[in-house]
Amino acid sequence: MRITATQIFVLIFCFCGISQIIFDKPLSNRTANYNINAHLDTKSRILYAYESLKWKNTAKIEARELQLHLYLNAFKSDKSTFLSDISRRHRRFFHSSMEHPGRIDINSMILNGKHDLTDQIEFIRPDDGNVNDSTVIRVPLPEPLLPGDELVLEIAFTCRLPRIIARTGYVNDFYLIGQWFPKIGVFIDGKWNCHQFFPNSEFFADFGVYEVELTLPVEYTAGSTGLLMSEWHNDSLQILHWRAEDVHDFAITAWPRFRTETRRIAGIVVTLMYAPEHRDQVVRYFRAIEGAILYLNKWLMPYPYPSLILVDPPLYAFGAAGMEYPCFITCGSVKGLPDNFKLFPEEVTIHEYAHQYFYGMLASNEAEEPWLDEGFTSYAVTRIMSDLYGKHRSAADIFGILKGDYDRHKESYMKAPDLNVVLAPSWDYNRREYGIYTYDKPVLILYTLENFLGRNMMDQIMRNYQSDYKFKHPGTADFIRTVNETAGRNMNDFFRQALQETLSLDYSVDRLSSLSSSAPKEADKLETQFTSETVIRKRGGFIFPVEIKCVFSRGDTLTEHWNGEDSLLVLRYNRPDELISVWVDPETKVWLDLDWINNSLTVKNNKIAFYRHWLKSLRLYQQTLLGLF
Amino acid sequence: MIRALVEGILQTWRLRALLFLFWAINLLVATLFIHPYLQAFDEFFINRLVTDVLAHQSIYTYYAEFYYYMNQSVHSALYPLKTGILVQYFVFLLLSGGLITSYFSRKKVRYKQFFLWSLGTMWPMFKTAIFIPFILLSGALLGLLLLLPLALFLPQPFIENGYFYFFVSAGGIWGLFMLLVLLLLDLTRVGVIQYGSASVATEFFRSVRLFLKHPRRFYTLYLLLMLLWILAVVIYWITQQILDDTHLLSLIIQLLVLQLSVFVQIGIRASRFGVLANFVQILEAEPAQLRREVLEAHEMEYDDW
Repeated sequence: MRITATQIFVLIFCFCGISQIIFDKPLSNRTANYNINAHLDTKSRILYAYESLKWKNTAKIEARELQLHLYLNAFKSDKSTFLSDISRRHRRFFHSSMEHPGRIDINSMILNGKHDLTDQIEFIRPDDGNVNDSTVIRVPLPEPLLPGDELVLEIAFTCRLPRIIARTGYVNDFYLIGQWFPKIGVFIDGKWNCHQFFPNSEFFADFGVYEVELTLPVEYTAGSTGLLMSEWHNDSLQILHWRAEDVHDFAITAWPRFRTETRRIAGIVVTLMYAPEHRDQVVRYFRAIEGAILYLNKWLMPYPYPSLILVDPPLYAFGAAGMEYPCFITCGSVKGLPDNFKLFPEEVTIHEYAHQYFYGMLASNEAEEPWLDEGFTSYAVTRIMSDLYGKHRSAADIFGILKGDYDRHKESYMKAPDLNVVLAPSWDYNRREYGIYTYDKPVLILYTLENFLGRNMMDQIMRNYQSDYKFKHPGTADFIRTVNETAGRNMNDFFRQALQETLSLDYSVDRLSSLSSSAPKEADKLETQFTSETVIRKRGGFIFPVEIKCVFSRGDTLTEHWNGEDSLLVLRYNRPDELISVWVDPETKVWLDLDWINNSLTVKNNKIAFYRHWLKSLRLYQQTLLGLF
Repeated sequence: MIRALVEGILQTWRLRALLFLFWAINLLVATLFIHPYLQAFDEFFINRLVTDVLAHQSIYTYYAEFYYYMNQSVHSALYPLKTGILVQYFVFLLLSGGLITSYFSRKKVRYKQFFLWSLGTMWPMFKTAIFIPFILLSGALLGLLLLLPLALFLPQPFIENGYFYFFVSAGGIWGLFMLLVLLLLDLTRVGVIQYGSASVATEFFRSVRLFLKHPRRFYTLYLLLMLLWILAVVIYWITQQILDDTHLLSLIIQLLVLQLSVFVQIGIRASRFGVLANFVQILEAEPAQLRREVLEAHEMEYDDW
């Protein structure tokens, strides 16, 4: 039976109005609310859609124009800002995508049911002026929208989905539909915050309610950000109606071969949509997500939404793996992946879920301050992974070499500590810097802060930050304010150095010496006296206080505190016993320290460590040599 | 086949003085050529308290710092490590001549004689022997080239299952193919000694012909020897996992276990020459034996008649 477009829209409108309310009381100010009806043509890979956007001016200044994102246009041409920014190596990788470009076209735009604004749409390039980029549009309003007033924008649009790129599109019959609809920017203080789509930049949007109805072939299994409110199908088509409240984006996945498994964890309905060949990974997915949900519920705040979708794409659509959308995350795994590799699926699953708190509920500006999302998320994940799987084995335990998540971040940062600053917009970084300064260094900054203030205090800070700013788009200044107020001390200087400067930090113990001399103890006795001296150096301009542990030959231990303001510290002791070891930061609290090995000196080191390493190396080498016989 | 296997292993046990020599060379080469690398490690960690931590656990961060900050030293230490591999390869290749000859000798082998046999048999073919790694590499590549294009024919959309099972089975087939290449090379070496041939190529083709006459028996025998080696490695791996390595005494025990394992592995590796030599002799004796048996049968018939 062939169904015409008219019939489809009749069916769709049958469902309009069948919508329940998820939350009794709105969690956010619900500035941008969308009603979208879409039809996915799986043969042409085109999405025909109609969007009704109800937007409220929450600023204190009138709005004279609207700005909207058209993200899919980033994949329209290789001259777009997104594709031209990526390196040649990556472009080769993306070449296949250019054979299947993506784009979004607006067919009509009506304001408040009476003003046709279609002809007045203008592409703008607020960030780089690239005339070939068409990811942002501006539409002048016939009359200014006053603060507190609302408007309704009805947009008919067509999306040609790309072959999966930047976690959106299709591969074969698998679909991940993200960043697919015209999405209004954020109007703050009379200015539009609506950036072009850069390779490193992610998203920033207002909260609202999403009502989405999707028509697609009946054989597809689909899931989305929203709660499934109703479904209808005939022999060939199905219509799914979802609703999501207090979210700022909406993503959909569809694939005929999805298997699903649903479990209730801490009151949340968690649905895993997985590739059948990953049946052996289901247990790992649920173990990881359960751990993350319980941990974050306790640590930050209970996850407020009723549902969560986990998408495990097939290997051929692995480009869709590892992405966060509200109440919807894509993970990833491979058939037969051994348990001692925890990057997939455990870490990715926990990472994308942790995004629900920072990208999802706090909703900081990911384009301008990416560290507030990726950095905080990585910090949370590192903590969760360490607590669940062990601090030094959470990433991998291979042949007795233990690698934790903190170790992973430290290794990346150590190799490039001063290329850029943390507090920079995402388009200021190249791909490598983006990884180091929005993921790795922020983890080390926050973990160093946690060690400095104490875990309980840090937990309180994170809880306050979450509860004070949820659904409010906090910035870096808001977090620093929370830290200062909660901890009752001014940490501005620490954050200035850590976030706004490229200063590095490396303590080292350069010298340890003792000289003996005889001095009269009592009238008739002489006791040997030792003059011990140690020289401690601080390389890099980062100032941070640190503890120094001095151990003497008779077993006495002294803990010195150094503010780290000078580049050199000389400690001298005149005692009857000699100084035998010095250890700067003995509890390894300062994870920003680039080289931990040089933090200590001792007159007698532990030879077992050497013998262990010799044995391991000898074993490997002798065995390798044997293979040649 | 079983007779060849048992006799080969027993003969190897009788040549334990030679095994001791091979083990000593292995240990010497390993100790000498690993020295610069260990020196870099010692230099980096000398007088550092972090060794207290490393005495109990192998924490990745400290190794990462070592490899990063000592990059130049570690990089320099790679050359001796590679040189050690080459030295070991050539020395063992040379000495394998003496070893194989020892299997054909019925007398007690003296070291002097062993070295003379080694030089006399393998030295003239050294130029050819240098190419053996390239032959192996070519075999490996050929195997991959033959197998990998088949991946293009995997059915969609069950591609991951297809890939998984394809690569598992392709890996297995490739392993068996490499085993065949190794078998032929070992058989060539045995043939060179047995027939006193001066041409490796001639012996290689003779080995191929011999293998083709009894492929199943040769292959099973060689596979058994390889499995025996794998078993020895697995047993060692499990043993060293169980043993503690955080005290001096336990480290000494670990070192002894390692050396015992190396010695046993050398024995298993060496025995393949003995087993193959025996097997070849048994196969060559078979037609004569058969002729004798047929003749005897005829004679019996004649007598009966």
